[in-house]
Amino acid sequence: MSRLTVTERAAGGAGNRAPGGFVAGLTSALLLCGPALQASAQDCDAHCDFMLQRIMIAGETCAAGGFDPSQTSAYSRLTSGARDFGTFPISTLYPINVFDKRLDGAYVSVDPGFSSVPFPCNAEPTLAPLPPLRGLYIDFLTTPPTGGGPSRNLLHWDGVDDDLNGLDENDVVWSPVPLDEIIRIEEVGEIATADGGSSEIPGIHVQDTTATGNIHDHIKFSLRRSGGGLASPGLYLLHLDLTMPGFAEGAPIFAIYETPGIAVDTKVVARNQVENQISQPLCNDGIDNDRDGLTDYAGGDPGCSDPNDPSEKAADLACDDGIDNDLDGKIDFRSVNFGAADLYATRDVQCGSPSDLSGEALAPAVPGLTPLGALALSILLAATGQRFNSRRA
Amino acid sequence: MFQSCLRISKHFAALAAFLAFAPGASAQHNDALVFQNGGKVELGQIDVDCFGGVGAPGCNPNAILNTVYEGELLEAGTPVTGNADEPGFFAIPSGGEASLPGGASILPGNADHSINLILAPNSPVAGASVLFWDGTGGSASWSAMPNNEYFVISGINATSGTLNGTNEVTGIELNPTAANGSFDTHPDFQLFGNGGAVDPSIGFYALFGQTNIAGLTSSDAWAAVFDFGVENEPLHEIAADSVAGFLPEPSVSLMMGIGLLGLTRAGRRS
Repeated sequence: MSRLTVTERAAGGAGNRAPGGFVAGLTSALLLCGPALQASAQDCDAHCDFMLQRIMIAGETCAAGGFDPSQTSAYSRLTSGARDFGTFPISTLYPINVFDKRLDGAYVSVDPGFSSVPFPCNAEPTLAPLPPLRGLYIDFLTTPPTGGGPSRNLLHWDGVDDDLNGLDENDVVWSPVPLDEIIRIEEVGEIATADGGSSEIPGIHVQDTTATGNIHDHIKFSLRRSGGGLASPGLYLLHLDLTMPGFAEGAPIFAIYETPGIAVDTKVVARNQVENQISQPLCNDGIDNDRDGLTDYAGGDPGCSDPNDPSEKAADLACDDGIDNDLDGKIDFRSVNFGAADLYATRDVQCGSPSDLSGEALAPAVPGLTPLGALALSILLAATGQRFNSRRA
Repeated sequence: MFQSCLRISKHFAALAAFLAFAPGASAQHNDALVFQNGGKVELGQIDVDCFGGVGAPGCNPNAILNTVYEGELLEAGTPVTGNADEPGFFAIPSGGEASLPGGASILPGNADHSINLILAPNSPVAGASVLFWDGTGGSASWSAMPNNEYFVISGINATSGTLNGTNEVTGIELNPTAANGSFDTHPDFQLFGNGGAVDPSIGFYALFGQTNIAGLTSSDAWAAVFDFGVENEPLHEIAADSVAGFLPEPSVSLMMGIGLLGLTRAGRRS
């Protein structure tokens, strides 16, 4: 549900809730709205990194003089754009959720990297820094093949101009991998593999944000065959979820990898096809993004107002609003545990369903808790949610 | 259990650091900057975010003439290895020449790019390609690696090399320049203990490199100073400052071009 405007919210939306202490006061002002992560006409042909940001909450402003730590305590939505380091000035593209890269001669790429902008409003007026000292995680989602059948965590297109009228989007056919190809992602001490199967797969911890919410990191993407030997030539499609504890939904993105031996920039055709024909708003993407057991508008997710809704969360449902309303360190109803961030270990067991209006009662103000203390508490709660591999403090 | 305690303690340390937060106190996206001057490859440093216009208010968008880069070797596995993908190497795309020292220029387009790991120049340890300091004594005291540690450095196209402390490695390929002369590329540095069977010694490790761009004269030496397990930033600074003394000074023309303003090594972390 994401149709409330700032004005509407101030009049009667989530922001009108009873205050529940400093953190709840900020989080109750949460905006679950923002631009849809849909197809973008913007191109990112050079060296683009994933750019992860937080959509600003109601009342949040660009802090005078730069970073304002109080702006990082509220939970809100992750969103993705791109930073193109191959242009001058370095450009920020937003929204972007489809990326493409050519693999090197060893079928490896360390791109796209991961980036974030630590100063509010320097890139886009609606984008805020990520919370400080918080882990960024990446998981494998699935995508249905073009011809139907079970969704897969890795798909392949041979890059061939089948109709011999020039390579265009009509030639792009995503199919299960032809042999036993896999894509492995690696960061220090961690490995996860998209095996071409039909399962979503928990991934790895990328890096923690700095004290200003900044991230810049590169992980390794390796295409190989599980049984050894070279992967089939062509293009490979990953559907990835970028998540961070404290955020109820991730920022799903697509990454396309082009093998050596394929005409350079066949991947651009593939990217356009994914942007125009596969990428969908979260309420129509076939993924239970908020892990409440209900998928999309069609599947009856109460957070979806229509198929074009970019969020499966609902601002007016305490057990489905992405907010720790009762300040117990647990958020919302969730039906399953999934993901490297293990977001769902923090589910609020008092919520019987996403539509439960009484399960996560609004919190009273915490007696004696100063704003700084509340901020520290929120950080600690977030930190304890990072159960895995918190190696970068 | 120890690992868990370490992680928890790191969280509290991070929280304490956050509560003591001051703008600009945290590392940004600094990379080693590669450019050319008179047909020769030169290195400096740049805050990539600031260059791109989204850095800290008041940040410096211009090159700094620094050739010593700091990195943290993150621990993983059993036996423990140290792992880093920094320093990254960044080349300015066409249009961004104003960030370079006067007289310098961007790299040629579509040019191959590689690094060599070389013997430490002007080193206190003859014939060493890796220097080690355990971080004790208050001032840097460099020696050879104490327990047969070694580094594996990896680039693109499966190029890699092993640096055992007395040898040199050439031709670690990194991303070539794009048509507009730019790249942003990160080799992997991995530290192993003796034979890969034990943990490496805790301390600072200094490696020395040289950058090659097709069509240009290779750069003078630069250095990467890695912290493995010391986790003491002032000591890391001491180590880096000490290593800077082993390296050649930037060329006079570059210093003139940058007006001597960019010589500080502050914020050098890449």
